[in-house]
Amino acid sequence: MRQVLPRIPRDRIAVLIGAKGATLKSLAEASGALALHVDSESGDVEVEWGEPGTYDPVRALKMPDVVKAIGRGMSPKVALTLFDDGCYFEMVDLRDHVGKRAKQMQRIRSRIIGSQGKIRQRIEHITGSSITIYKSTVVIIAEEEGLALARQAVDMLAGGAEHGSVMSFLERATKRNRIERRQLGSIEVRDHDVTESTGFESLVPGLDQARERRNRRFRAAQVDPEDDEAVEAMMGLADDESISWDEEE
Amino acid sequence: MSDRRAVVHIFSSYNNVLMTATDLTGAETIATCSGGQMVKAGSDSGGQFAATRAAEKLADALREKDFSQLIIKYRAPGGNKANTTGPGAQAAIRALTRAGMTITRIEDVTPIAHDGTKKKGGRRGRRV
Repeated sequence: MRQVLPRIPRDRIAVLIGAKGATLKSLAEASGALALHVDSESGDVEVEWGEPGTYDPVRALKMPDVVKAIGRGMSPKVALTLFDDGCYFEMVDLRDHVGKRAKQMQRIRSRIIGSQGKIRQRIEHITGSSITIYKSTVVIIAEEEGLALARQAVDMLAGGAEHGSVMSFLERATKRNRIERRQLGSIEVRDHDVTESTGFESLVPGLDQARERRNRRFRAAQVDPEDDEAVEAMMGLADDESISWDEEE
Repeated sequence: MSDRRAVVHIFSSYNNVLMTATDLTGAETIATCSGGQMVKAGSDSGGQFAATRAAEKLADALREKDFSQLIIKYRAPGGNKANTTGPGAQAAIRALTRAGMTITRIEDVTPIAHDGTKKKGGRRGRRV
């Protein structure tokens, strides 16, 4: 199976391929794919998977994200952690917040990075994520909880919130998460089957069995007498059938 | 006759996971299931647990009808909403393979906006 992956910018092609194709090879190895093909002119990426069953479909699901992450400035090493279960990918497009103006874009980018990368590092540290800012996108790789927090923090910064308020928001949220994590999470399960029993069956005792018998009789009537196997199957007894050898009265 | 093929459409947002199995044309529905049918709390229905349960149930329904080869088409809300799938998509696919289904192809069918209407939330964003 060949899968077309997102195209990557020209200046990231070299990173995706690596020295003599080393990165590409390790990427194929980590995903279980047969091979990756990169068009080094246009940046088109394709991945070749083996027969179904020889690779993990979840990796195939994540492959576009990994390539997208590398294409948007993430280092291949970090992008590979995305193959772990429970690691998710999110891309924030800053153009949604400030439009296309280059000056505004630079302003927002520097706000998210902070001086000496301070703000970015603090967000990464608090939420346990890795963040890359490249041109107009912010790529976040994190676990489920951290991802939502980091995403919101980036959105807040891009939307014009002050650094201080974003940091205090993060601190508060992590404190709440830490308390929640101490308790065992529980999910209440719906016990009744919504789609199958409509309630009427349970009100009339024996209706299910009667319907079953009737369906069986109907199926028996449909059997093709020429087909030996079908006849054989029809002659077999179901669980609730029995033969009595008493005379009928 | 146990290698019939079906297409499983998975819609995965942060709030729910909807799964529909159809035949190869996509016009005839074989079985449907959703995360919301599996858990009581609405906020859990997009999660991994609900998705796993729903996928197991879908796999049961498919196996009963002799389908074992699946083509997966997954999507996020897309358009002017989120373009990334929720945590449920991954869990659902994992559960389908665990249930013995063979996945022959996997495809992203998230609708991509080529410009269009304005995104929800005003100029100052969503305020909580």
